[in-house]
Amino acid sequence: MKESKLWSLHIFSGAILLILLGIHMVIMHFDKILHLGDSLAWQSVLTRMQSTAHTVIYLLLLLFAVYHGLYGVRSLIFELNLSKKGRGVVSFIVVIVGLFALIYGAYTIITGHMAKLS
Amino acid sequence: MAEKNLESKFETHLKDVTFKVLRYSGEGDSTKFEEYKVPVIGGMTVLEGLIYIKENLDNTLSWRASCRMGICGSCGMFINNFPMLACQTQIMDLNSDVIEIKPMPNYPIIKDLVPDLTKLIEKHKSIKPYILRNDNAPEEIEGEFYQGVEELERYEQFTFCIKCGICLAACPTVATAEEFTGPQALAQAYRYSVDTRDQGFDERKEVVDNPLGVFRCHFAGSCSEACPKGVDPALAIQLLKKAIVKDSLFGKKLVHDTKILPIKQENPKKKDNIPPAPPKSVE
Ligand code: HEM
Ligand code: HEM
Ligand code: SF4
Ligand code: FES
Repeated sequence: MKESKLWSLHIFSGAILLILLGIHMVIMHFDKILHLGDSLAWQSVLTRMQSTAHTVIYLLLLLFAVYHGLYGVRSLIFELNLSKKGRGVVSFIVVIVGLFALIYGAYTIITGHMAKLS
Repeated sequence: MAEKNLESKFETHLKDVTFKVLRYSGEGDSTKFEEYKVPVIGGMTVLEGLIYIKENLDNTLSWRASCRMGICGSCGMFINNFPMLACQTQIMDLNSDVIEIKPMPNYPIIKDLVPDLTKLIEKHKSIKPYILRNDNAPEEIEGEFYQGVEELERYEQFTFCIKCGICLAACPTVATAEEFTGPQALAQAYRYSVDTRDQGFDERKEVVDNPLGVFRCHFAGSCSEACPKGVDPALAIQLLKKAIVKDSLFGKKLVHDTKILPIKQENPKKKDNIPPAPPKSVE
C-alpha cells in the first residue's frame, strides 16, 4: 500500500486513541476521583469485560493501538539507513507481531466477555 | 600599497576573536580543532574572517564560497553549533570571543569546511524541479501562461531557495535517515506542483509518496528555523502531505487549469493613460 494511506491511518488511529485511550485511562486511574470503586479489583474488571460497550471499546482500542504503535515503530526503524531488503524484513516482522497481538488480544477480550463467571 | 592599506584597515579593529576551526585533511585521518586569532573590523563576516586566515595565517585552510552575498548557497557551515551562511553572518552579531566553526552536519566532508553536497543535488533533481507539462507548451501553445498574484503567492517564498543545504544540516530526520528526501527537495516538489503553470503533481507524487519520502517528516521545524533565505520548508512539506493525502484518499488531484494569454495580438491597442516614452538621452 502507498505510504500516504498507511500514514493517514497512523494519524487517524492517533486521533481515535486520544478518545479510546482517554476513556481507558480515566477509568483506570481516576476511579477514586470519579467514585467508580476500585477499577482494578477483580469484580470491576469482570463487570467491564462482560459489558458489550466495553468489549467493543476494547476491540477497537486493541486494533488502533496495535496499528498505531507498530506503524510508529516501523517508521522509526526505517529512519536508520536500512537497505530495501532490510525494510522488507522489518515490515514483515511488524505485520507478524501485529497479527499475533490482534489475535491474542481479541481472544482475551472475547473469552472474557463470553465467560460464565460470577 | 595594497599591504599598507590592509595594515591600516586592521589597525582600527574592534577586537580579536578566536576562530576555532575543525580541520580535516580529506585523507581519512582524524579531525582536530585549530585556533586562529582574527582582528575584527566593523561589518566583518565570518567568511571574511576565514579569508583573513587564509591570506595571513594559514593558506592550507579550505572552505567553499563564491558570491559572498548570500545568493550562491556555497558557504553553509556549522557556526557556534548552528548551520549558517558564513558570508551572511556578522562576527559582531555572534557576541562571542570564540567562534567555533565546523563543517555542516549530515554531509560527508571533503576537506576542512567543505561538505559533499552530491546527495542534496540528487534529491533536488529527483523531484523534477521545473515546470512539467502534458501538452507540448511552449512549442505548441502560442501565448503566455497567465498567473494571478494570489496564485504566485502560493509558492513564491519557496522560490527563494538557494540550495545551500542548510535545512538538511538542521534536519533531525536526515541526521539518521540519509535517504529521506529532505526539506529542500520536498519544498521544491511543493513549489512546482502548486504552480498553476505546472501539470507534474502525479510525477512528483510518485517520487515522494514512499517509505522514505514526505511522510517521514516529523515536523520538527528545524529546517525553517535554520533557512538563511526565510524559506519555510516545513510549511511546504505539510502542505505537500495534505495535497498527496487528498489525492490518494479522496482522488482530489492537484490540477490547475492554466490560463493562457495569447501574445500575438493583431492590433495591439494602447491604453490612453500610458504616458509617452521620454526622449532618447543617448544616440
Ligand atoms: C497504567 C495504565 C493502564 C492500566 C492500569 C490498564 C489496565 C487495564 C485493565 C485492568 C484491562 C482489563 C480490562 C478492564 O479491566 O476493563 C485493560 C485492558 C486493555 N488495555 Fe489497558 N491499562 C493501561 C494502559 C493501557 C494502554 C497505554 C493501552 C494502549 C496502548 C491499553 C490497552 C488496553 C487494551 C487494548 C485492553 C483490552 C484487553 C485485551 O486486549 O486483552 N492499556 N487495561
Ligand atoms: C493519545 C493517544 C495518542 C496520540 C494522539 C498519538 C499521536 C501520534 C502522532 C501524531 C504521531 C506522529 C508523530 C510524528 O510523526 O512525529 C505518533 C507517533 C507514534 N506513536 Fe502515537 N499517539 C498516541 C498514543 C500512542 C500509543 C499508546 C503508542 C504505543 C502503543 C504510540 C506509539 C507511537 C509511536 C511508536 C510513534 C512513532 C514515533 C514518531 O513517529 O515520532 N502512540 N503518535
Ligand atoms: S530551503 Fe533554505 S536552507 Fe534549505 S536549501 Fe533552500 S535556502 Fe538553503
Ligand atoms: S558565498 Fe555565496 S552564499 Fe555565501
